[in-house]
Amino acid sequence: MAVDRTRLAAGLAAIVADVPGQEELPDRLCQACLAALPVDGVGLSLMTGEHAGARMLLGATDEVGQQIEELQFSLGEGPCVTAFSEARPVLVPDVKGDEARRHWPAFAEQVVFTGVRSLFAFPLQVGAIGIGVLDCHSSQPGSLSEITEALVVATAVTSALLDYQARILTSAQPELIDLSWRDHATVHQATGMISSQLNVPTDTALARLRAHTFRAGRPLKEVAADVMSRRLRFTDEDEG
Amino acid sequence: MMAHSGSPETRLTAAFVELADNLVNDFDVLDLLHTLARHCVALLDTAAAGMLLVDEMGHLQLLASSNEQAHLVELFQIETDEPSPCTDCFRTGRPVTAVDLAQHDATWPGFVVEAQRRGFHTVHALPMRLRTETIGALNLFRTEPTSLDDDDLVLAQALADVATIAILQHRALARRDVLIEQLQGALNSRVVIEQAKGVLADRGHLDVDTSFNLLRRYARGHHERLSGVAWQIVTDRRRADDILRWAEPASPSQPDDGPT
Repeated sequence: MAVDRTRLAAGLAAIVADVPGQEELPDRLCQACLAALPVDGVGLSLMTGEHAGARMLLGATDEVGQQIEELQFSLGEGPCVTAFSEARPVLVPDVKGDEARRHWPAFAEQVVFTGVRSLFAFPLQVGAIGIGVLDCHSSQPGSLSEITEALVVATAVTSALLDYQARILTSAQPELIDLSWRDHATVHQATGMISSQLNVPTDTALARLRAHTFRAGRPLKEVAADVMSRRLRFTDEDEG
Repeated sequence: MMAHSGSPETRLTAAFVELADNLVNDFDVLDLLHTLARHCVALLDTAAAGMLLVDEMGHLQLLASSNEQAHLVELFQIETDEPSPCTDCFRTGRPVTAVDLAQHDATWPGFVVEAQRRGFHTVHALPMRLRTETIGALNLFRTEPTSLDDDDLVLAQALADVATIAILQHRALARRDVLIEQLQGALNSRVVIEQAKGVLADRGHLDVDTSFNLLRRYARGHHERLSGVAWQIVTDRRRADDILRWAEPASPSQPDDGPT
């Protein structure tokens, strides 16, 4: 089953735009992800800081998903924690296996009680911007058969959550669902430059940059190029 | 400007020793690819080299370039967005050579115009491939409208093969899972580096190429990973300022001093 990234992104964007309150966002995003993946359940957690102690559950499609999140939160270790701190996927085809026990001894001991046998964690990440972790679990051991699809889903969720952050800053709507912005170096360079200009964290800088493009109705690549050539400068009062 | 010390054989030996070090020590895909890109330019008669890996969407992404000037990085972007020798190479898993680009404008119209505009007239794209798995490509640009000689092409493919084997065989990579973790990590690390270039460019009033060279010099000088230093720069403004201060005795436009 190939995930149509554009259609999935459109679906997630619709959730982001329609959701009445932020509290409902995580569960609804999770459900949309579950539909696209061959797993038993999906969890989504928002990180508010680098360390596991700062984690906060966003949502899960089942109670088991919730248990896994809470377990890692209370133990301060686990695949999701590692995925976030190392900014890379952590794929655990068997939580009873040697590797899992070696990397996360306390977690491996406890997780068996949840009935989960395999766990795959995908950080929601754009460079140093870490929004959270999407994780999928199954009661069967074995590698995730559609890893590519899971990666695609993770990038779509990342974009949807970044859209959410940008929409807080502006009521303007982006014209097109365009996920190619992630591929462009100038966008990331501009993010860094803006975060320095405004002295704000990188995720705020990206939200400001994208909000500006929504308002201006200009492609992100173009605005980023203007930032890098110093034609456009972001200041506190306005967006440049 | 690259410092070329010693005979070609000495430089070649130095290159493979450095690559071997990379394999043995705490392995980092991004650092390996940067090392390789630099060695390609120092050892081969090429003006620029880029290492590209495939992402989850099947698109090639630039992970390392022999220099980080915006116009070159932009050309790699164009090369992955449009039909090009590089995309053909990746798709077929076979080397693709385009000598004297003016002859090839019908095959790759958009790319040829942009490459020529930047002074490049020959492209060699070599697959990063092990048996049936092609994970990316090594892309070489020359200013001359002539091919690299056969010895250089053999060497270039050997360098690409070393990188491929290093990535695919690391830690007895029996499982595809670990490869994916590594590649995705490398792709994200590249984004961190781009973000760091932006931060340094602003704080130091530098262009992105100078920013990158500064980042790289600092990482090497302190035996830290490129991606690690980049992460610090992006998440902590004071680190960015520390690093700029560290570089101060040299002028910001000091040329990088070669692959070692």
